[in-house]
Amino acid sequence: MKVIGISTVRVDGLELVKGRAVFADDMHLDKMLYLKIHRSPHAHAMVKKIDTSRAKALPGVVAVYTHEDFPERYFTTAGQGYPEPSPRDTRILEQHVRHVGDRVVLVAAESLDIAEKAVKLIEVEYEILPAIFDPEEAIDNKIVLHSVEDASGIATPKRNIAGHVEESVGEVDKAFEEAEHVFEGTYSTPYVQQCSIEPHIMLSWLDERDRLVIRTATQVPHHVRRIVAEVHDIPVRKVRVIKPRVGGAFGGKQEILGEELIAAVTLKTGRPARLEYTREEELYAARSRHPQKNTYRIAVDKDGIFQAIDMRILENSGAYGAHALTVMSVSAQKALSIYRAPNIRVIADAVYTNLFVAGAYRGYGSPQGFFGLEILVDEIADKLGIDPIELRRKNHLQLGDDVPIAKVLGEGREGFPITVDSISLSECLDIGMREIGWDELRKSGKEGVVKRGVGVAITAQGCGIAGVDMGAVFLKMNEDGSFNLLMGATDLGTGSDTAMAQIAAEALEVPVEKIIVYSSDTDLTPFDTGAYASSTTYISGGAVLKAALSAKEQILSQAKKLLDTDNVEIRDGAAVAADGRSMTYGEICTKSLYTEHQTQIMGIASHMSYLSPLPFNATFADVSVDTETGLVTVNHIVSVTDVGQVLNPPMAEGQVEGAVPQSLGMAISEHMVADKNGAPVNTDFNDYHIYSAVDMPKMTTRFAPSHEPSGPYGAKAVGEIPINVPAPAVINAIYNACGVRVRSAPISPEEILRGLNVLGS
Amino acid sequence: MVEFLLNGEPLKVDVEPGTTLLEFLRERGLFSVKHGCDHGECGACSVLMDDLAVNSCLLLVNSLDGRRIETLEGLEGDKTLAKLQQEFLDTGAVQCGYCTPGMLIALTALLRQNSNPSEEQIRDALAGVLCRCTGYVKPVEAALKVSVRGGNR
Amino acid sequence: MVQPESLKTAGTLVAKEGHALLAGGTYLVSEKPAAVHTLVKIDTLLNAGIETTKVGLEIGAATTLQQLVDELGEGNWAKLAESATASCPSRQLRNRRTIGGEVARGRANSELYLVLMALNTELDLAGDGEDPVSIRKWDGNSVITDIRLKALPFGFQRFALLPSAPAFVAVAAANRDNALDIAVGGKADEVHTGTLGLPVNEADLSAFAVEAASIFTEDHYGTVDYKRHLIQVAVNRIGSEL
Repeated sequence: MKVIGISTVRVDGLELVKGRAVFADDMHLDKMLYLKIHRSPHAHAMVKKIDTSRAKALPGVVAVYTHEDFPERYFTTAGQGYPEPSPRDTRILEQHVRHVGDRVVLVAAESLDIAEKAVKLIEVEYEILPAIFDPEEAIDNKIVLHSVEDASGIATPKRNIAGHVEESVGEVDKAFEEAEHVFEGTYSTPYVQQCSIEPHIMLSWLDERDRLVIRTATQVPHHVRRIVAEVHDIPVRKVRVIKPRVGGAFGGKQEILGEELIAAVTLKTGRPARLEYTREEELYAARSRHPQKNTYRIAVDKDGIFQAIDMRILENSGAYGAHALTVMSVSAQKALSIYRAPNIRVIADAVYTNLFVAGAYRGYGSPQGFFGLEILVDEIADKLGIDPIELRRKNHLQLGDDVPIAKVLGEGREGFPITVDSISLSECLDIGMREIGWDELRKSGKEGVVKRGVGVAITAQGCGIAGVDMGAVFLKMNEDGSFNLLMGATDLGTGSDTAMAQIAAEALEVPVEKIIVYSSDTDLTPFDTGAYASSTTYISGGAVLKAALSAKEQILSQAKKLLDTDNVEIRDGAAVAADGRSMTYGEICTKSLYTEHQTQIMGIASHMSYLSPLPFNATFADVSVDTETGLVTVNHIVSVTDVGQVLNPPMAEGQVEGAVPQSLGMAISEHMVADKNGAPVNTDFNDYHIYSAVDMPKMTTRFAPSHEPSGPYGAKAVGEIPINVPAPAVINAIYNACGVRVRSAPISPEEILRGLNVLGS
Repeated sequence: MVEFLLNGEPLKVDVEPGTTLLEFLRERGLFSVKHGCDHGECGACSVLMDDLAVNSCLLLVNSLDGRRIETLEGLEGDKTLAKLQQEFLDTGAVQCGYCTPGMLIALTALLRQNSNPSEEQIRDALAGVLCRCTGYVKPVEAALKVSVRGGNR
Repeated sequence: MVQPESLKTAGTLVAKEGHALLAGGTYLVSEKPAAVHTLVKIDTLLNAGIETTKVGLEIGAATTLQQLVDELGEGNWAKLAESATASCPSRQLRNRRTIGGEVARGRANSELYLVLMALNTELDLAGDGEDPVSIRKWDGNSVITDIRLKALPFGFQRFALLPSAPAFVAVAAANRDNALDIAVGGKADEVHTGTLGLPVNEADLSAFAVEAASIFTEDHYGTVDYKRHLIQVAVNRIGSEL
């Protein structure tokens, strides 16, 4: 292949290294209004009275809105396809506030300063209500967060259950009764935040035809368009959503988190509007990862083969239910995919609490689901005296296997069958063992104050949501033999513009420079569900491939007409006749546009799939534990991934290299903390501490090739899978280092000391 | 009234007392300087002041008398920056690009002071620029490539 | 913003309500204290620079943390440079933060501040012939012009979740004539200081640690008991280095 698998410079790289004005906020709009939100200081309350008079009287304040200015309409902020599998439990501005930071009043002013001052002048009278902060106390609590009359799509509102999933395959109880060994463990993961360096930022204005235009850093332009139109009861045709360059998202921007507010101001005032989240707001009033407390039981036979896996999930959705059902569905679906146990069951509940609202965050339930699973598997290996890698090799999926859970459990609806048509997980383990120094480090380094150990964890993900995700592409040819590639597929800095250009270039047999990419503009590019669920390479890429091949067919067909012979073939950007005459792409297109057999050569294609093949990953961690302080240092992470055919090696590596510190953050230094009143404790980068350049362990990133027949050029997804298991790998390494078994993230150094009987237990 | 040099241009401005350099620069259309946090923790707002990398979000315009400020826009043609930019592209060190100007400013400042920095010195220079996409792996790799070349001169 | 002619004038101005000193400025802008309406600009009135003296170092208050790191990074005072980097991992911030500002702010989780406390650093203050004041006794009024450190063996330990994360417990200690002057800080509202005889007696250290740990509260980093334990570990580690 000429372009696939080659390290290609990003098509958007130049403007990024030059710092050009390409992000949402990099423009000035005349008469723009700045929005600020007055947020609830209480975790649970009813708004009794709002006095906006002092705010309205401040010079420069143009509009102040409360729940009284909007109809009582409920929607979901989740950027998902219609009909969204999330509860419609959110109002544009709330009267019943359900978490610290909930939106009460919207202020629009001539400057940010004035808007900030105005927000402080608003007086709200609240009736404070008792609150629920412990998800284990949510179900059947007499405090009810969402009453059934208001909202829809909530599993059991009276019991505070936002979502419920219960599925099984085989005969689970029987398998546990007959098992040689039964192992069980309970594990928990915390609230962590996506922390894209660009916060949520969005602008809106009315164009020359009074159509609403929204320019927003989003993963889901088409969902934004639909949901904003719904909230404001205007037809979709009156709204245009444009995604500029986005400064990172990681799921946080798979959400309608303010576009409806700027739209409200623009529609009501006729003026452009801007809303940007402060870093503080990002850290408590945006979205985050759903905490889960999960119990796993695994039935093991005398040969160490898993016969049954039972998974119970208690997921904390926070105050609203965006993504609640689907995240835990993914937790179960992916965690229950990787091992071949014939009997599997999941019972999962997502509950409401008066805490941070969780949403989509890279991995989308898999990091939580695999966390406990991979620690328990490690505990089983330890108890049975089997090497943890060997135990996994005995039990993980093999080529040709069916994945029984996939058929019964989709995302919010029934799933579709999956068969493993590509897998190099075994090679991932081989490579990883070697690179981390497994044999040596498992045994050595256990003396002294600082103890060293290694651990492993494996994982699988998917490629898009089977039967749901769809992407579409328009491709048109230009007279110099170049092509405009117009697609809905949404580049967040993930490099999809480049990867899609590579697929088109490979199919059309031209260099990547001949593909001009424009993406994610609901007026100009066709539909795409958006950048989530690791769907871009597999689904959007599938559409690009189809469109490119279709265009190539037309090029050939035109060439035959222009060369007046059927004996023509395409070779390296030209049409070559059997008698040696040739015509370049440019010549073919110029004639086709202007002089002979005129037609616009173009490809139009959509792609969806009932398949969602599994990428695989093995992550190894080398850690040191200071047994006097309990502090853990991660020395080295080796991440080996099976993504089928790697489309662009540095870009694929980049995905892994960024995902690993996010997972390490969950294990070591990141933890959104609320105080006893539900108020956020750490709302800046000092205390909510993400990895910096001086914190990084040594990183070794490798790919074990395989070929996925259903993926474009054999490719599978890479965007999410590398975030799934660095955290449990670290925890397993800690156990190897010093014999302390951690079962929750973030790791508490004090707990490690107590596990070592330093400090008394 | 305060007088300072901005990208080589002498300025004489009178601004509201609380105006930060970040706000001022973006008002003037110098969008390479970005807003990422509110307290000088993320470094996305980094600029050069008298050849040193500083957070423009923490500088008050009225305190800049006599200073020389440079942003990426004004460094067009700077050889050190150009090498870094090319290496960032070739090595795949740019993903979303939001922290890229901050990293380039921090590295340009470092290389102006020391044309052959070690990996440790590069990481130290980058410690004040937060990135969520790259794990700093390829940015450090790219900077090291430029460093080695600098040392060979 | 006002720019006084002399530090003495600055000192008078800053005693007024709503006035604050502007030297490096990073704390002011990041914390935006609401009541401040006038900034008293003194950076041009202050000294920057490091001089070796007969007893140790004299550092101008306007010396930036990066200048400290650049000039003292190698050599006998390397640990001071290390403490400056630990207290401020961002080079952009070190290019602006001054040692005078660090002392004036007195952040309990600043390793540099703890080292200066352990060394019982002396502060020269602006004014007519005022004697230098010990950092431990400074009342926070008037302007610091220079900082004087004695060349004593010293060390510090920091406990944080990551190298660039703020320390939740940090301890600095200096050996002054076979007594260990200790400063304990971290995620706390104040710094605790004390002295132990050398070699360190476990019982005395234990009692000191309990007392010092009273500056901490239980939080997501751990219990007070855990932090007390860390204080002991830190003092032992520093003690064995010195």
